[in-house]
Amino acid sequence: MLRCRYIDKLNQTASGIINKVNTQHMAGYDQDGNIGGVFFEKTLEAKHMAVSSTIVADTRKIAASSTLNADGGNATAMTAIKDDKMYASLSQILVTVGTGNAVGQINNIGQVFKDTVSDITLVRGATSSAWTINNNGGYTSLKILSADNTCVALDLNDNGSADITLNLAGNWTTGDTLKFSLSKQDSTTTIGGYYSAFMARVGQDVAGSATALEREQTIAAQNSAQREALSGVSLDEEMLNLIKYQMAYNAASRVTGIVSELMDTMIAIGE
Amino acid sequence: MICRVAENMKYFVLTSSLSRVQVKSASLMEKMSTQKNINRPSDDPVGAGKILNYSSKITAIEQYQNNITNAETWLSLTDTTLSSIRDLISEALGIAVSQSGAVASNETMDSSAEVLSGVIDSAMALMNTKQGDSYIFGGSRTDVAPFSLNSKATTIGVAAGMATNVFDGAVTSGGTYTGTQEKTYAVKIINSGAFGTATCKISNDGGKTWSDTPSVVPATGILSLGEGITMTFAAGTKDLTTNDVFTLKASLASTISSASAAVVNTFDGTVVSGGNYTGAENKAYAIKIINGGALAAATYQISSDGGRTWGATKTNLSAPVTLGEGVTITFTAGTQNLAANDLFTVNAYTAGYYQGNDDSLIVQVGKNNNFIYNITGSDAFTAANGPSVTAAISNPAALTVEDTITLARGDSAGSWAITNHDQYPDMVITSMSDTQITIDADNDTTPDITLTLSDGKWQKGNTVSFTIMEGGTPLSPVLSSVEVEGPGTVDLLGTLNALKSALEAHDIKAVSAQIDDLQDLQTQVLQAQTKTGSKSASLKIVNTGLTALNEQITSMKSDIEDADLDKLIISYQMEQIALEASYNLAAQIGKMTILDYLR
Repeated sequence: MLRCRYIDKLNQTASGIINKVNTQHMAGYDQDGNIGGVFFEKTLEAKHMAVSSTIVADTRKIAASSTLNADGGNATAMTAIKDDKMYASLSQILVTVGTGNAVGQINNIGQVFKDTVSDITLVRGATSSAWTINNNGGYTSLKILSADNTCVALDLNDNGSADITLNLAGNWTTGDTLKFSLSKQDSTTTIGGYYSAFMARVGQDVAGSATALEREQTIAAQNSAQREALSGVSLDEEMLNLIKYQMAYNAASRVTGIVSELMDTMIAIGE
Repeated sequence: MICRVAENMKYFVLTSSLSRVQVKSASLMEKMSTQKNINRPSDDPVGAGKILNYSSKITAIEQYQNNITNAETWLSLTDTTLSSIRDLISEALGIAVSQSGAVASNETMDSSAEVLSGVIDSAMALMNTKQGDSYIFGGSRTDVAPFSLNSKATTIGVAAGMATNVFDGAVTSGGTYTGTQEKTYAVKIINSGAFGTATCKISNDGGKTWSDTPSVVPATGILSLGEGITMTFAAGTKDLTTNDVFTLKASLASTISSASAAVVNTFDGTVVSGGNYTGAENKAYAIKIINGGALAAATYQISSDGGRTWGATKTNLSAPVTLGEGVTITFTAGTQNLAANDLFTVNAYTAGYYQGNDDSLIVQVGKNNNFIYNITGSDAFTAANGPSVTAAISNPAALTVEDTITLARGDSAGSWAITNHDQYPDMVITSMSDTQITIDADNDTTPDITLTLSDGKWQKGNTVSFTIMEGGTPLSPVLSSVEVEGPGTVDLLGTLNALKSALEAHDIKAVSAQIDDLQDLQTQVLQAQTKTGSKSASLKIVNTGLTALNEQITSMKSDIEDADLDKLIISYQMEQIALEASYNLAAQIGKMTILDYLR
């Protein structure tokens, strides 16, 4: 469970980097004056993060220029991504037509890589699974992954993962409309900040488990000490007991000797 | 409370305390051997987070410093190049001075022209200096040589007569301009008469100076003005009359490159550029397809800054599309439709030799601190973006005689002085600011002429001159166009080429006419050099700041991360003592039993 959460965080960091760098890269021009393609291969998992094979094969395809004139402007813009805020938050979801209500959540913040230019608008068709996108708000690859009575899952960049889920409540009918936007907030952190917070969290978890281990070990020691106190053997004690019983034995055998002597004496007198 | 100590317990306590001591000393050993307090995040989660933060700051600072080093290399190359170019200008100035004197002969002029063409070649090479793969004077257009040896195209403007002229026939311009600079030609009639008898004087500087001897207007009406230009008069009802003035402007023309399509485009039809570029600086226009389709259906966006920013999405490419400022592009369908992201570009050049642009090259030298490290060729070597002035008459009654007025600028915007006002002895400046100068011609406190100055770029040594022309009736005077001279207004290659053609034509007057321009050029290039120097200086300051910041952050990081060996050794020694005590205890513990005391 814990491991799963860490992988999620790492994947989100990677997604954040991949999406932002790709978006910026595609706004620039390569050395041949062509519009830049993707810089990183599209992937959901951090372990599969890799520079696009097209670029590896031909480094002229790196879109470092912000104009067709081969300046270095886009490279500068890409280096500035590290100072760019990472989170985008989901605005309150407005139900403009219909009586139901909806609450949304972002499942992978790394996939939210730009503010929406206008509200994302979804309209319900005749059935609960028939939602359509009326306005993609600038996320041109926006897709509805699944929809039913209680939940609509959205994929922001066409990679098959549910990046945003909208939980629906109430009654929904044909033509009902949902509206929301994604926006960056000043209080949010950069990709680097997100990663270092994540790393500190992992450290805290490890340190916490180490402390817990120590605590449990102490308790275990305490318990076994108590158990030993009850059931254990103390050599000194046993030795002293031994001496005690030896003394008793000695005394008893001395009594026996004396009785035997008495008997002998008695017998001698009788003869 | 344990009230009974069993033997097992003794050994258990002994082993666990021994292992505890050993774990502690092992961790101390690790800290000592790595010299770091934090070897994994769990050692100090908060500290580890801070370290990561500091590390990324340090990496960023190192990157900024690398950027600064690169920019400094660029600037020092710019500086030495500018200084070499200044030497070449001095050489050209030397030639101009020596060849405009009495000792000049056709032979010396010819040989000087040879020398000068060498100077031009070297200047050209220097202006196209490269740092790595980038031309340093091309603005952001670093992949194309910014200067070409020949001016690209010329135009001759429409010939116009003064409104006050008596002559009522038509006048037209013609020919191909062979000059290398923008010039305003003027023809003034000296003696009235029909074609073949009327005489005129010709000026090639907008009416400031006139040819010494009048020439006859040919019977054909076709008058040759020089440098390939002709002015053709067609007879009207009235003859050419004394003081009739006709002007035309000959200039270097702007050009538009042929449209080019990106190699990866899907579209295989043809694209053709056209129109007359009216912009003030070189630009790269681009057109990008947003939604593909046939010409009429596809949607597109236009950029006028080489693709950095894009305009609104539009539709229909079946008719010629105006990219802006007179540039058009026309698509003809091929077998493949337009597809999204197909890209087409057209370069538009203003008149002259410059093919770069006015963009800045920017590098990050700090967070949110973008530094411009280039000097554009247009700033240093051309008249583009130079100062300009428009003049207007506010009180015609005061301007009664023809005269050429010249003003010179001192150190500051408030230090203009009138240096030439022969016919107006009482002329004074009534007010002057960064943007406006008002002149009172007869010192009656009423401003008579208003000069409006363009923004910025004014330097000490700039002069402004214009001619008051008496337009027939005494109370309707007109002003000639205003000539601005001095640093910032001279085109380097144009001036050198003009000097060369003057030498080749053995025209002493034309040679000496270039001396002023060459002197201004020296100042102009020197100013560019000063700018380079101040850029270098401010980079050094930024760099010093970054080094100090780096030191500070490194020490803050070190405080958290690095182990204090003295402390570690002391704690290690304490642990050693504890360990020894534990061992001793362990060795002793077996010996101590009640048996020892039972004898």
